[in-house]
Order: sequence, then C-alpha cells, then structure tokens
Amino acid sequence: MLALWLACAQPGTPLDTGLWGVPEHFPPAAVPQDNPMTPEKVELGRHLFYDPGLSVNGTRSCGICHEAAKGFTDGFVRALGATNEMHPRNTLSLANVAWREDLGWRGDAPSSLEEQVLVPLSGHDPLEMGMDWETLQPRLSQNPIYPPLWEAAYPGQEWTLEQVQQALASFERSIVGGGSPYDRYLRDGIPLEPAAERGRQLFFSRELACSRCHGGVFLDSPTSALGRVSARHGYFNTGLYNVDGLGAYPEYEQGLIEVTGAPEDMGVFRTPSLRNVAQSGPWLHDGSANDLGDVIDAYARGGRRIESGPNPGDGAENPYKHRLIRGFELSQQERSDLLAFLEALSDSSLMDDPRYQTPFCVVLQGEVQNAPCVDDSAP
Amino acid sequence: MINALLLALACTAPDSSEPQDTQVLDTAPEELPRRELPDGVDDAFSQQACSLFEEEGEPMLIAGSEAEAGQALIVPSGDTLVHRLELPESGPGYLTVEVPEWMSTIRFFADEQATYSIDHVDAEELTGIRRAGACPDTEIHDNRYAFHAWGSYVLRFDEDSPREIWFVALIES
Repeated sequence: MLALWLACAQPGTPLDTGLWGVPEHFPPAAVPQDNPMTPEKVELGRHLFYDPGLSVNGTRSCGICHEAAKGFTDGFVRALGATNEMHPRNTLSLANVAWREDLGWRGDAPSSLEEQVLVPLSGHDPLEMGMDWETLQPRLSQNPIYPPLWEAAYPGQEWTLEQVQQALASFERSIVGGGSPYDRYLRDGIPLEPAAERGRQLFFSRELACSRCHGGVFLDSPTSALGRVSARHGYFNTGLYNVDGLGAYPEYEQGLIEVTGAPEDMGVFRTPSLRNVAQSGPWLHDGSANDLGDVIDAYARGGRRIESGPNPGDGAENPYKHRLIRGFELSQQERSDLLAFLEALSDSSLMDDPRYQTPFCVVLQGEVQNAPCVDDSAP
Repeated sequence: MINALLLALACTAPDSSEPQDTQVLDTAPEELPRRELPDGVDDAFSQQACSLFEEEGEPMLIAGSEAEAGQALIVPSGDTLVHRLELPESGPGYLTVEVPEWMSTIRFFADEQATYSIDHVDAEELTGIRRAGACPDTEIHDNRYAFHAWGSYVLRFDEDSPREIWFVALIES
C-alpha cells in the first residue's frame, strides 16, 4: 500500500526532499505550480508567520496560535482570536501540513494553504486575526524588516496580498517533522523502546484497530489506494457526546452536519494526525480532553461518558457513532504502553529547529533567548 | 486601553449603610458566619466587580471531575463577565479558565464562602483571598493570580464551597 501511495504523485511540483529535509520514507507532497517554494519565499513567510502585526490589534501572529513547542498548536481548549473571542474548535497542528489535502476539522476549509491563510487572517466569524490588506499593506511596507525580504522573494514586484498568502503557505509547507523515534523505526529499522514497541503492536492490532482511522505514515485520515484522503472515510463520529440521548453534540460545534446539513453527519469530524500528539493537548476537536489517557479510555469504552457539566451523556450510545468505535479491553500496562507509543511519535527536533522558530527576538527577564534575531522593538 | 475601559465601567461601590440582607445573593448560605479575611484593595477592578454584584450572572454548570473540566470554559474579561457557577450536587467543581495573554494577572471575585485553587506550574496565587476592597460589606472576595503563560488552566472549587457561586474574572494586566 505504501508503494502505491509513493507511486502517486499529486498535482503540482513535488516538495523538494533535499531542500526542505523531507525524509525518504515520506510520500511525495505537492507544491502548487503557481507557488513554487524558494528559500527566499519561505524566509519571508517565516517572518510573516511570527509577526503579530498581522492581527488587527497586534496580539496574535500565526505562530502564537501554532507554537512549535506545542506541536504547532496553542495549548488552549478552544482557540481564542485576537479579541479573545472563543472559537468552537481546538487548534490543529501545522506540522507536515504540506501532505494534507483537506484542512480544518469539518472539511469546509479551503483545500489549498494559500486560500486557507485568508481564513484566520481575514475571517470575522469567528474573528481570528481580523486583518484586511488595506490595513496590513502599510504596516508591512513601513516596517524596515520587510523590504529586503520582499525584494528577495519577489524581485521588482509590487507587494500584494496574494504574495502574503503564498509566502505563508510556503513557510507552512516547509514545516516537516520526520525525526521521531517512530520515524527512525520506519526509516532505519531502529527499534522503539520496549514499552513503545508494545504500544505500537497494540495500535496496529486487530483488536484495537487504531490504525483503521489513524493510518499511513502520518497516522491521520485513511486514504484511498491513490493516496487521496477520502472525505467520507477520513471523517468519523467517535462517540464523544450524546447530549440529548439522540446523538446531539454540543451546540457550539456539531461537526460536518453544519456543512452538509445531513443528520448522519452529526458529530462527524476529520481524523487528525497523531504526530506530536503528546505535545498538542488539550485533545479532540474541541479540546475537551485534558489528558491523553482519557482519550484512550474513551475509545476503549466505545465512546465517552460525560457525568457532569453542561454536556452530560453517554457517547457510546450515540446513534451516529461510527461502527469502528466498538470498544476494546485494555489493561493498565497496555494503556501505558499505548501512551508510550504515542510519545514515540514526537519529533523533538521539530520543536527547536531554528528554521521553524520566530526570527524576532524573544526576551525573557531582560535576556534575549534566541540570538541571532530581529529586534522589532527598536523605534 | 483596558484601564480606560475599566474607568469608564467603574461605578460607586454599594452603600454599606444598606440593609445587609439586600446585598446577599439568594443562594448564599446566610447561616454561615463570615470568614475572617484581610481587606483587599479598592481599585478599578474591585470597583468593576462590585458594580456587577447585583447581577445574577450567566448560569454555567461546571464539571465534577478534572477530566471533564474542558466542558466548562470561561475567558477572563470576555463577553460574559458575571457567571453563576453551578457545582455538582456534592464534591468539588472544576472549571477551565482560558488565559488569553502571556504574563498576565487575573483577578477572581467570587462568593466569600467559595474556596478554590489552580494547581499548575505556570499559575501563582499572589495575594490569597481578601475581601473585595470596593465593597467590603458584600460577601464576595477578591483574589489575584499570576499566569506566566497563556493557555487553559483548571480551577478547582473545594467540595465545601457553595453549590452556586457568583464569579467574575477580570484581566488586571
């Protein structure tokens, strides 16, 4: 199956494996033909990614909500926009996003990173960064950091919003994490630690069948034989809620049903990648699990039972729950082993690789933490 | 800007000469003696919280376990300022506070009989519970927490807390 996947080049230009550090065991990823990746464009994108000036009130950058140390998520239960408006869903990771054909939790996000950039940048429902080009263009052009970066990326061209989209998308595509213990196991045959190996065997076992949903090298949505994420097969109701006893999810976020209107899409969400999952909590589409072990327990039970709070109910009895969520027996040792395997999906180098860090100076207690860096506090 | 907003919102603290029973929430256990607490500061934040004391607040069922705390979220200084937290029938109650800024100080104002804690390496209780300085005759207290990083923090109400708690969280800085 992996061979079939590898054989299937997606439309566009393949991501340059040498230039962007793509591991050999990763399948090809497509770069749009109208936005070829260059080091200069990625560098411009890195600056834009970490610049809070891209938000209307200067409080949010892309990188604040997609923090490298947190697996390119934000650590919130549900995301907060620039004006602290609470969002209905948890922030998804951007690591290895170049390999995703569908973005977002519900399948209604634009399918290209270039278009997706506009959702947080300019979207107002909910408000994330609240920015428009008329405001952003003068901010950028008056910042002495940008003219040389822009000239290098787009020589002799007028600055446009499309270039911002392209540069940000290029930087996001460059975030490639394939250095976890599991990658070393896949690529070089280096054994996992014993507990993680036992967990791996459980993960792929017929009894637990975690890999039926978290499949492939990215442990995310299942793909077709051609390597494409199938919209239907990549989305599941996993029995997390049953607010009314009839299968309802909380009103703030009900999943694919809000896109399709189809009753059977109640509580249906995309299967996220499990790479760096140990760093990307809180977990689930709405961040409602603050312990990774609790997520395993919910699957072992065949659905989550919520005893208290605003959304009590037995998700195992949710009539829209997918048939694969059927529960399994798990001893404490096995649970611990499974967690060890999930830990082995963490690529620590991704989190401190200077290519992915902010170019701006981070000052803590008067000391710059990340020199060399750009001091944007200077008048 | 926040300070300006608070000044605009600030109002006179409730008159302490008013009969005491008009200032006590219906749900407060009136038979309980008042706690011995030091006085808090009478500043814009305390004045804002005291100005909201008569408001019943937005009801919110909170969780009975830490694992379920992600079901009940509040954002300090968010759209809803006054919450009426409803704890489970017995035992502790759990609430998640979404702290939106790095290195911020949050002021929590709650019913005097409520006791709570945040057990997190990045959360630091600064003053401990004090009487609300702007309205010391009301039975609400004032507490300050410093949060070193933004993110979600679980606040645990002890099991001897009232089952219904008036609660306000404001970003001080």
